[in-house]
Amino acid sequence: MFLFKRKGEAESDEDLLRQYLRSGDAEYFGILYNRYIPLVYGLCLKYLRAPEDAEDAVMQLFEELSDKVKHYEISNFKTWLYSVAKNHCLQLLRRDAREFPADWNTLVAESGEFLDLLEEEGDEEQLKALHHCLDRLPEEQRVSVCEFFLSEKSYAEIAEQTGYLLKSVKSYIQNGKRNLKLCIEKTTKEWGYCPI
Amino acid sequence: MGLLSYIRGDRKGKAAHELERKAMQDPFLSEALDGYDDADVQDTDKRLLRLQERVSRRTRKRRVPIYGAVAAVLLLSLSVSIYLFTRYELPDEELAVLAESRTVDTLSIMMPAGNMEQIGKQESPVVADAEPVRSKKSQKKEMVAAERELQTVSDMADGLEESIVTVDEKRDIYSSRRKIASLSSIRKDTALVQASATARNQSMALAVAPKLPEPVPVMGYEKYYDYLYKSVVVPVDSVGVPVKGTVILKFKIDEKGRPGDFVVVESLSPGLAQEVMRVLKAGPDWNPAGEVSSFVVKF
Repeated sequence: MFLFKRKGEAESDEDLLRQYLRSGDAEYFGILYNRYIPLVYGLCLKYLRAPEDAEDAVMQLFEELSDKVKHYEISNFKTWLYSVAKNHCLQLLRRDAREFPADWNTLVAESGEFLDLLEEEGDEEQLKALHHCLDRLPEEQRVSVCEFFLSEKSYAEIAEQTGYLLKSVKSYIQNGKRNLKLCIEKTTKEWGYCPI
Repeated sequence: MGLLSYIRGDRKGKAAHELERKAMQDPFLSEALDGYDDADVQDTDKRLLRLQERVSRRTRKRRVPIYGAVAAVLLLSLSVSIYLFTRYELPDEELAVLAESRTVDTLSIMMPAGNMEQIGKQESPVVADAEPVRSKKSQKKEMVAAERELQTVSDMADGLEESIVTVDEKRDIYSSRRKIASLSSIRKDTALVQASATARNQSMALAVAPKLPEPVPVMGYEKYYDYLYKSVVVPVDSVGVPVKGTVILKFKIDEKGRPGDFVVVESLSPGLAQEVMRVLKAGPDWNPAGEVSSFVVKF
C-alpha cells in the first residue's frame, strides 16, 4: 500500500487557501485551520473565559470561515483570521452583555529601535537617556522591564522571583515600556538643547 | 513547536522568553497567550486535540475511510457479474429495459449491518481513486447482477420473522458513534439500499429509500448527533456509574418540524430514553414532516 502523507503539511497558508478556493476540497481548509487552532482557542479563552465556550467558538468559526474565505480577498490569512476571530468573540460578549477583558495589550508594533535600546544597543546619548529614564520608573515597572529585557527572563520566572502576580508582571512591563518611551523621547529632545 | 510547549506549561527559560518577546509584535499570539494564563494544562491539551480531530474528520475526503467498503462492493458486484455471465446470456432488449429503469451511475446493493460495523472501524490509508466503471455495457451487466443479488437477498428477507437490519446512514459511516441502524421490513418492490459509488468523489452514501422520504434533521445528522450527545445528561445507576445502552425511538415530525408522538422501541434504561426524548423535544428542527421509523442512540 502506498504511504500517503497528509497533503498540504508543508505548504504555506496562502497556497493552501488558494488550493481550497480552486478545488473546493474542504481538506485544504481543514489543514489550514488546524494550524491555527491553538491560537484561535487561546484567543477565545481570553474573551470567553470558559473552556467549553471557547471550544464551541472555535468550531463555530470553523464552520463560518470555511464559507467566508470564499467571499473575501485575503492577503494574509493569519491577520484576517485574528480579526475575524476577535470580532466573533466580542460579538458574543456584547450579545450576552458580558465584560470585556482588560485590554492593556493594545499593541502597537514596537519599533525596532526602542527594543534595541532596551537591550543596550544604541548610541551613547540614547543609552544615557535610557538609564536616566529607568531610574525614574516606579520600582515594579523598572524591575519587570529590566528582568524581562536585560536579564531575558520569562513572565513566569519574574513572577516567581518578585512575588508579583503574572498578570501584574505583564502590566508593569507594558506600562514600563510606554513610560520609558515617552520619557526617552522627551529627554533626548531636552538634551538636544542642554546636554548633561 | 514553541507555542505548544508553552501552552503545555513550559513557561520558564529562554524559549518561553523568546515566545513572549515575539508576542510583543504579534497581537494574535499575545492575546492567545493571555488566554492560556489561567487555563488548566491538561484540559487545554485534551480540548485542542479534540478540536483538531473534529476539524480533520469533517474535512477528510469520504473516500479515505471507506476505501475498503467501496473496493469490497465493486469486487463483489464484479465477481457476481462474471459468474452470472458465464451462465446467462441476456437478450439485448431485456438489458435495455433494465438500463432505462435505473439511474446509470448507481449500484443497488444490500449490505448487512455486520459489514457496516466492520467498515465503521476500519482504518484505511488514503489510496488513489478506484477506476470508475466507464463502459455502458459493463454498467448494465453490473446492474443486472446487482438486481439478481437483491432478489436473492429479498427472498431471504421474506423468510425471516422480523427483518434484516439495514443501514440508514447518509454520512460519516466510519464513525461508529453516529451510525444509525434502522429496523424496517423489506419488501421486494420498495426499499433498496443504494450504494452509489460515483466516479467523482468516490463517496458512499447508504440510504434506505422508502416510498416516502423520512424526515431528517435540518442541520444534518452529524451536527444533530453532536448536539444530542452534548445535551443529554446521562442518568447514573445506584452506584453512580453512568448508564450505558442503546435507545431506539420512533416518533413523528409535524408540519413545523417538531418531534412528537414518541414511542420507545427499545431501551434498557427508561431514564435514558426519557432523557433522550427530552433533548429531542427541545432540540433543532427536522424536515420534512413525517415519521422517523427508527432513531438509534448509543451510549
